Amino acid sequence: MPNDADRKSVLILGGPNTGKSHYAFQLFGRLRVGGCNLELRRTPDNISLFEAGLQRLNQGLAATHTSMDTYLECTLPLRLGDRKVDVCWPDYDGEQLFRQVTQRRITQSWKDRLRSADAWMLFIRLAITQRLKDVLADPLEAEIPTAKGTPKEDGGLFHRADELSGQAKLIELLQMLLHVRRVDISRPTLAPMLGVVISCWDELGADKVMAPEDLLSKQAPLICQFLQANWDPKSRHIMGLSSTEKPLSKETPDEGYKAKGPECFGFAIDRNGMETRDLTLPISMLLDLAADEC
Amino acid sequence: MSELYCNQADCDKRTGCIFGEPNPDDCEYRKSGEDTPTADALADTPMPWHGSAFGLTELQFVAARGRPRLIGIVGEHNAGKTTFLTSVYLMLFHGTRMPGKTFAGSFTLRAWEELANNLRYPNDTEPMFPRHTPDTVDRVPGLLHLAFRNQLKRIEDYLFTDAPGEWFTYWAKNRNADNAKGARWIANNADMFLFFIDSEELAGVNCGTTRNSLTNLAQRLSDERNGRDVVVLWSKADQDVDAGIREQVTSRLDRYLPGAKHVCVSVKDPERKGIHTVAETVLGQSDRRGRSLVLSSRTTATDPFLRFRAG
Repeated sequence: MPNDADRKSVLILGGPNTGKSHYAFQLFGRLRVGGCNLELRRTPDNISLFEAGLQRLNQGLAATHTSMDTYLECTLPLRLGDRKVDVCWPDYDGEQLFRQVTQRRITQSWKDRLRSADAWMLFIRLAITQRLKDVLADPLEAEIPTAKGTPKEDGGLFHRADELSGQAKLIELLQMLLHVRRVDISRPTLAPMLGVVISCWDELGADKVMAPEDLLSKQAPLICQFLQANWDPKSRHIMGLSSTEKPLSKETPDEGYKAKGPECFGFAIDRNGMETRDLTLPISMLLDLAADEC
Repeated sequence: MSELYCNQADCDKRTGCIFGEPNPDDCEYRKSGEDTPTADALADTPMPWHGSAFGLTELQFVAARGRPRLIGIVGEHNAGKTTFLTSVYLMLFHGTRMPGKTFAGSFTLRAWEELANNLRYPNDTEPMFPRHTPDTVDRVPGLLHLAFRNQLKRIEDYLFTDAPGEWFTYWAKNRNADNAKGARWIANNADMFLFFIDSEELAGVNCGTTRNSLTNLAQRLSDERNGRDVVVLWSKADQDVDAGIREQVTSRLDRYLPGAKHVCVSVKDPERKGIHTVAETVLGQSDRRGRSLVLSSRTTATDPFLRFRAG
């Protein structure tokens, strides 16, 4: 049977513990039971990528951390309205991405992925993005001395590349990825399309009521400006996501999950700040952007 | 032959040790042995910028996408030059937007972060003002980069010089001094100048000598200015400068640097109005089209700024 599906690959980007894997498991769980904007056309050939994680979630437990230095892919045969789309879904440990920032080298295999992907989906977890105070934004009463000596003498003060603050680290990552993909940013770019997912939305406290882009602008303003400056508004969207709706423990099972199943949990926040139970929204939004471009 | 190679992927001996060792061979990360990258490493793409302050090599990388605007930061030792730069970065970091401009990136993020980390807490030490920029015999100062997208949707690149105050003291005394090469480079190539006055020194026992050296420096800059914009920053403005001294210094600066805007800046001002005003004066200029200049691979010019200024 000829495959007349439009093939799209989405490259998932994000540091460690930003919720990439949990989203993959919950997404596949939703696709399996149906009722979302995006639907599976048939069962993917190999579902081993999702299986272990779904087992854990069905027991009410958090999935285990993706093993170091792994990179797995699964092609999801999807339908969005009349369109048939095959989405290639990857799973890997987030450390390997940031290690490339520290080492300032992008490996050949990542280079190939970055260049061939139709869209990038970037996971940002604001709750673990380092929040540092400084004497300008939060003045101290005490007198501030001037640092003495050379960096080597008081090594404690000297910060290495891997000690960039959360915002700087993510901007450096994106700059490197844009460079490797040879994106011309002399004008705001149209490709690759970028879906930014602010993950673990349930952790956000009072800011939960904000629209995702406003929230990013408040809590990570430099990242927000960087995205607005370099991506054309038509080629980016910023959304919120809580894949599991509440924190899960690795040891103590959640009774609700066990009883109702993980498909009953999790929500996405659209660009206007409206909550939806359709966890496929971050992907379908990206595919919509892709369709608009055609 | 056994040679010393640095095991830090982004350290390039030509642009200086990334850990600030004046002689790169003294750095602990340099070890004796052949530089034999693995096959994987050869296939990997190294980045054309390392994140530390720019030297001439990286300058060409930015200059390839348009003529950057060079902001010359002029002032004596401990006048608050580096602290001012740090404040500008932290302001952006916390969400201040420049009118009509959107932050579009920086190729010296590591350098900005190193500066910012001095003023951050909690940290492994108490917050401190950035350490003294070391006096070197370099020909070119460290350059800190910021890019903005303007309302014409073009990229504007800005480079700020971060030079040791001693360079300007040598230069004020002797225009041709050997150890003032870097100060001359700034004077030749800057598009505009920020001239720093240390209010703390003017308020203290050294007020007389400070008044004298400020006069020397302003006089020297006036000869080289050629109509370029100057903003005078009275740093540490929370310090009480005697009215008479202030008046004297102001009138001398009016004589040598006429038309310069005077702004008081202090990190202790909770609203940081002065820093905002200067940042907007420097970055909030009318939109430039960012004329595209691509360096030919045959170029032999060692100093790209000299080439572009002629254009």
